[in-house]
Amino acid sequence: MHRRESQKTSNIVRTLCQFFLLRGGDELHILVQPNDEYSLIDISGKVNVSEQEIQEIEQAFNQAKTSEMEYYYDDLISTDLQDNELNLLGQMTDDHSVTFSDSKLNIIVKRYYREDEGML
Amino acid sequence: MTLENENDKKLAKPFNFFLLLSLALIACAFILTKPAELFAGFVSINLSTSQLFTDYVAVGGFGATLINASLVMLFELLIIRLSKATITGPSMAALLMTAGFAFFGTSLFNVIPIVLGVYLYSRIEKLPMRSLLLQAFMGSAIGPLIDFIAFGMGLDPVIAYPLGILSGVLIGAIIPPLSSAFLRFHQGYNLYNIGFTAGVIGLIAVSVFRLFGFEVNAVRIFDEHYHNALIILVSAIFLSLIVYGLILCKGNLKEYPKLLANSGRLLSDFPVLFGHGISFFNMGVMGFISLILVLILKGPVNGPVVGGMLTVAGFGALGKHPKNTIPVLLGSTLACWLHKDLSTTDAIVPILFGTTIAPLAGRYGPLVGLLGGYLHIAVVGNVLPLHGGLNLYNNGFSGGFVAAFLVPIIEALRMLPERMKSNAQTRISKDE
Repeated sequence: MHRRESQKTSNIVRTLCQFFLLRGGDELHILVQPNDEYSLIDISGKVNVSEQEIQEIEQAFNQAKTSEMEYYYDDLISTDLQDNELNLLGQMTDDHSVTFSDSKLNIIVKRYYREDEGML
Repeated sequence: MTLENENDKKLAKPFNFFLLLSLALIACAFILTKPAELFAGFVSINLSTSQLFTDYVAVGGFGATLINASLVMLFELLIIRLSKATITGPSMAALLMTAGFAFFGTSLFNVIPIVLGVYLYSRIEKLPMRSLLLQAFMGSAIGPLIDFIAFGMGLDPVIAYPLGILSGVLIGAIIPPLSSAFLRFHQGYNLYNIGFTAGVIGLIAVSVFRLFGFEVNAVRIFDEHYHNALIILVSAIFLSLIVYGLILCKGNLKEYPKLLANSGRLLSDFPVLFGHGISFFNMGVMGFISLILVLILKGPVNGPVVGGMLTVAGFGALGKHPKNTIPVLLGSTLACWLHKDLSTTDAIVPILFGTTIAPLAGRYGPLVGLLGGYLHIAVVGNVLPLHGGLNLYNNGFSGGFVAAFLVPIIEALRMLPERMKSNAQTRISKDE
């Protein structure tokens, strides 16, 4: 994996981890699985989140991706996990799955590696 | 991952708006000025040293300045199209901001080398150019450095011109990694982050120049003959932003309160979060707020002031809205009222550009916004001599310091009650 992509993957893991811990998460299970095409991050644990927060997570993951996030603004992620950090997280990830039942939240995200896509 | 079909279409809409705006500026220029005068003025603009504050209206005339602004925007639109980028908040802000600065410091001559440098970096790092467009466009903040080397050092033009261009390419190549590093300095609370980056580059460059005996100082060249014409021009632009926004969102502004609730901290990409219609509407509103403030303060409307108003409007797509901007404007105005002459360009320009720290008000409330605006006025004048006016986004340089200074203090104060409560509980449990 390219050094830049490994940094991005670790930033996503740290952000998700903070998200769980700040919501009372105990006994987190984190799986990070990088391969040739993408990194898969699977995190689960019992947390105190409201339905509204779950909706906000979904919205953040569903938003359109902007090219500026491929380089530059992702450096802001994990600075304090407040204010638009979920949006930043959503911008950095591609596929996602969010499930919440019996106070247990499970978030699975995939980030495909950004290849060099030609001269411009 | 690139944008897919539907998003591509949705996010491509603003391209035509900016294209039409550029063409409209060219049309205005040809209506108002004779072609020969336009050409001569345009050459003068591109051969000027462009340091802060060089009002291009004074250097090349009103029509030539419009041509310069439209050509800068058209060049950027060409790069956007070639790089297959979609226009969202950062590029919308960059387009209007650089068009604004094309009234006082950004010229086609000093934009192109920076863009080439960023492109060079994208090749070295194997990154698509579209992910570096913000750095490429806003990197023109340091454009006067190229002009200074090419035209201001008294060197033989055979050496000076290539040296200036080469310096621009090299600076363009270092802007992306530097801007990325400096983003963490203020944690995204300074919207003109590239201005902070350009300020540091300018500081280093000017220090080296001074070491070799070259003196670099800010200048004050203003033209106030086109006050009314410029008011009409910006009013038309702001009105068109509002009308286009309302057309795009079909008059449905239900999401606008949500936009107003956003802190504005980077990355608040309003078109992505709330749609292009509401973002365009907000840009127009922000433009009119800045214009009304300038008129209330009876300030002059010249190149730098137009640049300020267009920048405020541009960032209506990337973090600024009335709720987080007005407290900062009031804080800056208060500082200028107490310590400066309010109706001068020297006061109006930092008041407008001080809104770079609007996210402070969005996140921590209007009082912090007021304080930030006040501090900004105190700091901004002191950082200008550091780069001798070679960094056009001087307020972004100042805003970076103000935000980096205030955010940790406010965060510590906010945590204080929680820590005291936690300490008290620890003491009770120890006593037990």
